[in-house]
Amino acid sequence: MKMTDGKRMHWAAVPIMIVQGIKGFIIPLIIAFFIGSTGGGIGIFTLIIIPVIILFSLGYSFLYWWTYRYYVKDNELYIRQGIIIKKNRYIQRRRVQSFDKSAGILQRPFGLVRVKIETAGGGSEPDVDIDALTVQEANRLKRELMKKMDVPEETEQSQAELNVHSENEEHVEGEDVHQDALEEESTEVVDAEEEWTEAEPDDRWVLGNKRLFIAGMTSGGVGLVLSAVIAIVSQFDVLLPETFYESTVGYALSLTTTLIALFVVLIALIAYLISIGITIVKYGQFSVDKRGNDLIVSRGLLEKKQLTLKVHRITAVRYVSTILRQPFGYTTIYVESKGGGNAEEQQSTMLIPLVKRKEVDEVLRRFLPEFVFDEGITLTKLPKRARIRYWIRAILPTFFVTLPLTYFFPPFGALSFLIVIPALWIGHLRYRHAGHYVTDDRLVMQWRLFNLNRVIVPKRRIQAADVVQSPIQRFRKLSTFSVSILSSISGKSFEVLDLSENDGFDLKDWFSKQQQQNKNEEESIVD
Amino acid sequence: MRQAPAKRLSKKALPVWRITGLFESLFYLIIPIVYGVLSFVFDWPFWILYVMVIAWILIVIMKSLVVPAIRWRRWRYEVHDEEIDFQYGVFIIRRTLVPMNRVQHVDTEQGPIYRHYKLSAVSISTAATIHQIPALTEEVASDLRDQIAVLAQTADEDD
Repeated sequence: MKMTDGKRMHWAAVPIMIVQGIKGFIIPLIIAFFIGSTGGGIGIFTLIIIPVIILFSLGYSFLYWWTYRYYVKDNELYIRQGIIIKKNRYIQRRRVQSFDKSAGILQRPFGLVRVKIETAGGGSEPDVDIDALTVQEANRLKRELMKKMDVPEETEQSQAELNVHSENEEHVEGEDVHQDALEEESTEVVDAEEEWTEAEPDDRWVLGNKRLFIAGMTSGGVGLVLSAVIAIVSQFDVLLPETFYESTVGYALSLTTTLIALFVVLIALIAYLISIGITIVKYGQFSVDKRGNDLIVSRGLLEKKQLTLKVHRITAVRYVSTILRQPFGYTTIYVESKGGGNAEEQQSTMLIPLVKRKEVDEVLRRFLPEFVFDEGITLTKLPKRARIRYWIRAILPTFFVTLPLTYFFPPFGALSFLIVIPALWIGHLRYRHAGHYVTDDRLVMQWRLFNLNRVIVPKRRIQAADVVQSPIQRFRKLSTFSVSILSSISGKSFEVLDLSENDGFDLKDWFSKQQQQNKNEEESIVD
Repeated sequence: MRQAPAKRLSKKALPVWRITGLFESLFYLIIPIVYGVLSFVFDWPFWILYVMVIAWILIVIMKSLVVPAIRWRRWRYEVHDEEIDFQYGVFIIRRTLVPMNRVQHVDTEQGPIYRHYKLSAVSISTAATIHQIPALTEEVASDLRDQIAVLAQTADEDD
């Protein structure tokens, strides 16, 4: 292969990478700036180190862009990268698990997108991460990589398009790549000028403003924002002149308690509004499109993200009702799949950010019919004797707080024992809401830590099942049942604690083909 | 507890686990040694050292005698046509069921101690999990590996 084979990213990859690179330096730079300014070393620092960093990242980004080539040929994505050490990578189309298209703040001014492609197995980093592509080019790449192996329902038109692409790909073999690239773009302009998504989807679910706003109000992000605000405020005393600090603190101390309380409420309110704002920015314009066998999840107001999942790769569906949302009957739907998933969401993918519990069935029927379950089913609950264990498990951790407080701050530290009451309540809820349900081919498990989780796993997606018993569980005839499924990076397992021993082993038998066969034989003998 | 799987590990698992248990308990010897040195330097009470040494001896007995015996008695496995059934654990007992058609690959592994005792471990990997049957004689292990490999290949792809 020659150096000139394949396409480069859009040229804007260079400035984007520079900014991305410097972004990582910003915090050390600020720290160094403040340290430098007190030590008088600021001159040398700004004169030498900053230009060096900028020059270095300019050179690096340019070379990275210059040497990065990709193209699709014969059902393979071919990537060649590396400034000094060349790395060639072939990714087979059938191994592509997910295709993630996002337009970050840096990409948007250029009208570009960033593409991440993940394949089966391996690592938390996406296998392919292309920083800057035109929307058309990304869509083309996606079509190339995500089109079905057998293309029965494709329209004639798109079939023709695909033919055009494969012809073009053959041209790439030739000398002048850029010529080809230009030609190709001009053929694309017609169908994908300003478009983010290509064609009308088969079905579409939109979050909408009302649900978005409710999601923001119930996100529970206030705590995080509040702690961030407090952290920033607590830094002020370092930055502000001492006299100013003294005067304001003196002023604050002279205020009446009602005013201080008002001030605190105000700050909390602001934090709350900020957290609503964060949700709106993150999940604004959220939509799920169904297109054949693909689910396309798009979201984001400032930073647009798009993730494409293949329906047949989804291994489990999970609803999570947070403590704030459950009283209003709202829940969130996540899916576990091979490929996809992000760290923020415990390696799952959020399919529906907020929906009424009652509407879950309807939404799943439209998008994931395999997972539809009647909301009205009655779960098999835990036996009464499990309750005391749930209570104890919830109360024990509180002693780590209450005992030291009682010991070090008598007598009022003992008041901390009051948290035993909410802990007991949570423990009781955990007990009451845990349960399971099976049909021939699917398993439903429900449990709570703080949020209420319900997971639906098809039997054929379960990789392994476990029944676990501690000595006390054996004594009390209880058991813990868990199943492992394939999730984005590796496996994931779900468990319900303290089922009755019989239920645990019945679930294992349900999963066991051998047992099912024995049962059938017995039945036929009886007949 | 329902009917346990039929097969047991090799009896030679016991000496292996005793040895590794002994090695592991050497690690805990650090605590009394460090305390001994410090008590010498700082004039700390000496009786605590005795307690620590006694505790360490108990750990040695547990790790090199009691735990291996219980573990061996618990460890069972059985390979059926459609699935593999495991039972293991010392105090907490785990029963695991892996369907044959989820098995992606089977390996046998052997470290230096295993080699000395002519033992092998069989690792069974699915897309999401890895299960290991330790301490089988070499012949049993390689037979098991081949048997599972064949069964896994012929098992229905999906049902």
